[in-house]
Amino acid sequence: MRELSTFAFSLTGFALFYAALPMRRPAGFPAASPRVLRIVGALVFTLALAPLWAQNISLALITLTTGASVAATLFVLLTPVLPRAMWAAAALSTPVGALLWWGGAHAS
Amino acid sequence: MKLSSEAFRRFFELHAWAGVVTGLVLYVMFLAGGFTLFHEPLERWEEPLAQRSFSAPRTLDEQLANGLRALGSTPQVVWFAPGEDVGEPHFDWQDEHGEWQAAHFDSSTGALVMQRDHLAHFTYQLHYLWHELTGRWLYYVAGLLSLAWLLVIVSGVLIHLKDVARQFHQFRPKKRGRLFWSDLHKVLSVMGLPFQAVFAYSGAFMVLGPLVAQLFVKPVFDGDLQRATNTALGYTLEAPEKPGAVATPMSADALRARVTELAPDLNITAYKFVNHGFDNGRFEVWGYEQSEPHSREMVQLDEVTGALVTRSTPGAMSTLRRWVMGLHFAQFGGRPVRVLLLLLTLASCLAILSGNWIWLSRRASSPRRKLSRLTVGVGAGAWVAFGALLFASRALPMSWPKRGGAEELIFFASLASCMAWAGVVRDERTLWWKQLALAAVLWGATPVLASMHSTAGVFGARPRDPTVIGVDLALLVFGVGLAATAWALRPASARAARPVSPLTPPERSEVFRA
Repeated sequence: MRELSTFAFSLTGFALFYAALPMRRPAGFPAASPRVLRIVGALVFTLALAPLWAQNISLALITLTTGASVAATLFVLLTPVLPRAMWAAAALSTPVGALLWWGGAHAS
Repeated sequence: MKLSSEAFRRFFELHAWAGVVTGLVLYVMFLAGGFTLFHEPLERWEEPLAQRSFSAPRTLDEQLANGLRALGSTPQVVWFAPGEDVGEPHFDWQDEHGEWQAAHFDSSTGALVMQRDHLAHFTYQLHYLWHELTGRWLYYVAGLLSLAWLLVIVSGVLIHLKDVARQFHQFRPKKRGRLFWSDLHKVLSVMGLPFQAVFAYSGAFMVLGPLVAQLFVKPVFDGDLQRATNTALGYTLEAPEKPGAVATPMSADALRARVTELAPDLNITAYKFVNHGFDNGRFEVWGYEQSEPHSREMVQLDEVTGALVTRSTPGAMSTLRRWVMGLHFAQFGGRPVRVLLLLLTLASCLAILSGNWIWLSRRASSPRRKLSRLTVGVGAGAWVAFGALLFASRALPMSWPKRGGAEELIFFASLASCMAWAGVVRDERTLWWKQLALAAVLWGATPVLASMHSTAGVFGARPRDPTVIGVDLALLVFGVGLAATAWALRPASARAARPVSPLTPPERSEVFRA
């Protein structure tokens, strides 16, 4: 569960970095400066480490990198083809990630 | 950082040639690695005896005694993986010719059933190019291929370092030909860089490390190979002594309890008995520590007295082994991380194919046509071959003693046939969709066939097993994915009567204009 929630947080985090690129920002995206988007993206990536707090930091970073690599690949390859679906997925993935984290902690 | 034009050219050529020469073998190794990530679930999926559930608890002594009774004698070394609430106990031993044998105990007949399916075992060994027939030399080639892959990664980073940030996100699916493949190759390679670097390094380390370590045996260990090996492993590894006098061993359950006292965090996976029933008998317990990444640990007791003989000890080598092997074997994060690693494996496979297509689009000579056809033959053919292996694993009669060897032959024959098919058909895009469609049929039909042997899967009656259902569902997902890809490629082939792939001459001129 915690690895899936990290993956979900990573998707939102990467989407914010992607949106900071002027040519990649979707129409109607809230006007925010690239710097703000990157800072928020970095915060979400930091949050993505939180479910892995029980692991040592090296392993947590490796797990985060694994999840972030997949999230970023999917986002970059699919957003030009399915833009609405991918932006919606990116928006929803943090709440879903939080639910997975909470559910996993509750179950254990 | 920007390289000089000469350095750029040299690194570019190194990247391109090393990638093209090694790529297709690595592609098959990666796909086999995808199977290997789910080795344990596949082992349970392929063997109905491993799926049998038991309501009453079974002691170690009872399971061991049943197995040895069925075997008829006690070999000098016996590996024993007991069943818990699911699965019959599994035994591995060396026969009188020194050949390793494997079997499950069947509690309904009281007999041993020899290992009858090679799917999990074969794909595991294919990942590092090991086979009993080829032995070590091909295994070392696998290590060299890992090293070559590392070289491809490093040279790729060097040539793209100047604009790596742009390549991090630039993908233009509406472009055709080399621009499309180049975007795809760079995105997949940049995103997958940490994964690829870790697996290339750890793969090369595991295969070639012991060879390099031999250089240190003389100067550091005064030529004592045994001491060097024990230091590297973190525990004493010695050849078994000859059996001593007959003696009554302690109960296996009592010995296990003793190990649990000594190593409470050890998650036991298997037991090894050496000289069982003799006064120099040894009881070894193998398993994983709780801390991640897991590494394989061992505790060895005297079978008669229960005294500790040796155990793996923490140290620099054990930490190195734990991290290198733990990361390569994905001994962390559980199934979700393995699914993510599988996706990264598939991305790496696509990176290899797209790399070949970029190489092809830059050349128009005779070797180009051969590589182009080889790329289709292996690229799509590997999916057919793995599909045929899965299909054969469920279609061949369970009682046929040679089914394991037949499965392996079917895999290689399918791959060779697909490569031969690619050699004679001119329209490569048509070949892609036809081979992928064939693979889709094979992958998708396998779970249906599996219900002939097992009631535990998606199409079986109850009682069901979540692991078996998971494998069945994964195969169905792959079947649907392959069918969708074949379907997506089909109209393109219908439109394109031209034989060349993936870049046609008009597209190539468009690229050069761009």
